[in-house]
Amino acid sequence: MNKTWKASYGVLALVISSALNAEVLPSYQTENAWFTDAQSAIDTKLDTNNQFKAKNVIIFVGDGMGVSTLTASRILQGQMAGQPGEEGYLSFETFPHTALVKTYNVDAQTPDSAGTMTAMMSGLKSDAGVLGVDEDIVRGDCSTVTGNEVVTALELAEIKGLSTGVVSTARITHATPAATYAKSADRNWEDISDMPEDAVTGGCKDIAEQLVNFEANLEARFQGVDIDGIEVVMGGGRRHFLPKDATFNSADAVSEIEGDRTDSRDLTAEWQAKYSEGVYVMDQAGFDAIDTENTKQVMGLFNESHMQYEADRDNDVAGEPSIAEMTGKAIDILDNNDNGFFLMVESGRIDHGHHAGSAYNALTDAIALSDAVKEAVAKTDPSETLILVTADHGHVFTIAGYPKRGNPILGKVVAIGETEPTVASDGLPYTTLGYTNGNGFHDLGDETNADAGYGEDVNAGRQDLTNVDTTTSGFHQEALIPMSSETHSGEDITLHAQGPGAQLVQGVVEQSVVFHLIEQSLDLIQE
Amino acid sequence: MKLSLPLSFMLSSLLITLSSAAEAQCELSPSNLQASYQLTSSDNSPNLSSKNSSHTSQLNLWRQGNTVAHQYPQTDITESWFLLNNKQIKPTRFFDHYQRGIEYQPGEVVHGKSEHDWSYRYQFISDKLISQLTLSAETGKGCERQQVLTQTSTNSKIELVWLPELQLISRFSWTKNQGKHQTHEQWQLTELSHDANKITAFFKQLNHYNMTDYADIGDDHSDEFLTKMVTLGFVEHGASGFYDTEGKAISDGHSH
Repeated sequence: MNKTWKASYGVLALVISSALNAEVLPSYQTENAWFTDAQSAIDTKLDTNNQFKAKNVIIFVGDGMGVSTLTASRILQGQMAGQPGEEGYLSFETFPHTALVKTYNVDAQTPDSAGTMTAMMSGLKSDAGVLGVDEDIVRGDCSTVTGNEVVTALELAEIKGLSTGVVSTARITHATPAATYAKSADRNWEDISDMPEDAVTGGCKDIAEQLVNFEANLEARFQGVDIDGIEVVMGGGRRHFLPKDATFNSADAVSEIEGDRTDSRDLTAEWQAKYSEGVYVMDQAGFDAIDTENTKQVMGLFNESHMQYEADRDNDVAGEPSIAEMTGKAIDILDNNDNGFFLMVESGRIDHGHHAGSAYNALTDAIALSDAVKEAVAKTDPSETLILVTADHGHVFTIAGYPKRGNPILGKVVAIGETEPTVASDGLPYTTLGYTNGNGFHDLGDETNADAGYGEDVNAGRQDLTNVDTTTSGFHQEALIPMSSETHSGEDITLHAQGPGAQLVQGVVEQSVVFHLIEQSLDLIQE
Repeated sequence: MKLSLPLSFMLSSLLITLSSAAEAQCELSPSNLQASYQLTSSDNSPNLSSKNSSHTSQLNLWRQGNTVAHQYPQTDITESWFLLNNKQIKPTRFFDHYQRGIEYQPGEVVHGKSEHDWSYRYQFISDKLISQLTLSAETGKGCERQQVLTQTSTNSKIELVWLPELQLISRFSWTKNQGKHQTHEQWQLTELSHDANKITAFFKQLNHYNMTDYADIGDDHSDEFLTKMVTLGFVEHGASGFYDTEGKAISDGHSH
């Protein structure tokens, strides 16, 4: 019935379109490339599939990837390829379905990653700063966790017998990835040394411990359930899995003592003991050596803390994979399960680039995420895999002024028809990109790590950029309001989708709808 | 062992306890010590309302293996650097009053300076600058061996009393004249200790601070400490004249 309706409507639309074109519109309009491209886009949408059930779901989360980040990233991507930039798309922006998502937390107008990812993974909004628990939690109070834990899509996928994976360029214990598997009254309880004494004695477990003991914890919560554990774990954050003892340092260590754990536990060893068929890797060489067809489980912890920014990846001591490489490898392992899989991939450092006031790092990491989505599309069948791409929140990041078409997105505003930068009423040039608040202007040359800005004094307000090359990797944009770091923003973000069930991605929705989209496609609860 | 006397007396006393064989070679390790300095800076400028401005402060140097720390008691801030096997240098800033710390990435720019010269942090004075000075005198043996190194130009004079076995400044003075304006800085070693327990306790205390990866500074705006960092400033602003504009001579001409 749907196909008949679709075909009829499609023919009718084409007839009307053709008739209108022939009789009303001049040929210089109907033959214009903008016009024909737009008509082609409509025709493609008319061909949308109406399949609702998926075998696999992959959700990509660009942490802090607001709408202005998408726009600026796609322009930068195009300009890096020698194009004007504005006309291009990030890979997922060509997906057929899009919605706007309201991001607020139950207790916050402008949200944080913990509350937002809890909404996406568990189907209900919660408070800022907490993971896998509902709004009745009191942040930082261990005693309020019991009874307020919620179930995540990843847990339900495990129970259903799907393979599961969690990939992040941030620490794997950081808020976004942690919301897929952990229950915590505070996102900062990444290892036991981060927890207050009363939380430890109160029986709360740190996030790293919960990841390693995920299988046993879930089986304990659901009687009769027998799962096989998360198949793929890749990201940074080794420090939270190792004891505070230099003898446990890896070859990739950048601290005198790499581990932070004060309970003497080596969770990487505990994980390997649990999963004797699994592979633990910590560098590019180990990653490259993974046999995806015969490896049942992988834990890859590629950095002591967060993984490097994409632009800074060459500076990693032992080498680490890109987000696209991790995505591809994860899919190659997960798709060995004929029942299907659920995979969450986070680009965690877009957010960090913005916090540090570096559009360069934020945008280049967003482009890297786009490449990872492209990899996922290439490795999966769109008729059986729902791919969702979204953000958790935006940043106070703006594209301002009236730069001419093709003006370098990281450059100073040059008006239409002009060759010299436009000056503001203070007589000084200004950049297209800027921040409402934050650490402010720094010129760090060819530095490729945005966080180097934290090594500088706050320098907010107007600056004379006349002799500054604002397109370098080390340039940090001006900020109006002085703060130790730039902040999140409260406006809506986008959700892009393709595959079975993607049709339901439309309109303006609460962030908790994301979970229900996943659940609908995989039938996680019904079964 | 803690000494609070002039350096010449300190080292003389020290050597009494050493064997004659040890007099020829120093058996004390330069990589495990604590040294205290008194820093004095004076500025005699005809333009200043108070024509003779002077400032005194204290700075402690701690070394343990591949870690060196500069402790600024006046500001309750300690900076440390860890030398990795690949020769990268990882900076860390400790806020002693808050028992909090910020960890930076190895090799990155911190307050305008990218750490590449380990000798500069390890000794307060880079090997490169020392190599530019002229040896004018050398006395003593073993740990007591000291060199007087100088450099004189039209408007400035540097004199360094250097303990090569300990890779340590005993005294450093720098004078600059610009017409009637004279700027003078002096570093004087006032205490020297090789007490392993004391050194271990110092670094152990730092290791117990609540640490934040600098990449996470933006993550949690509910953390009052991280928000407050804005006004805590950097060591360069709160410490002695060593890091002030003119003091950069000691750091091999680095400017920020």
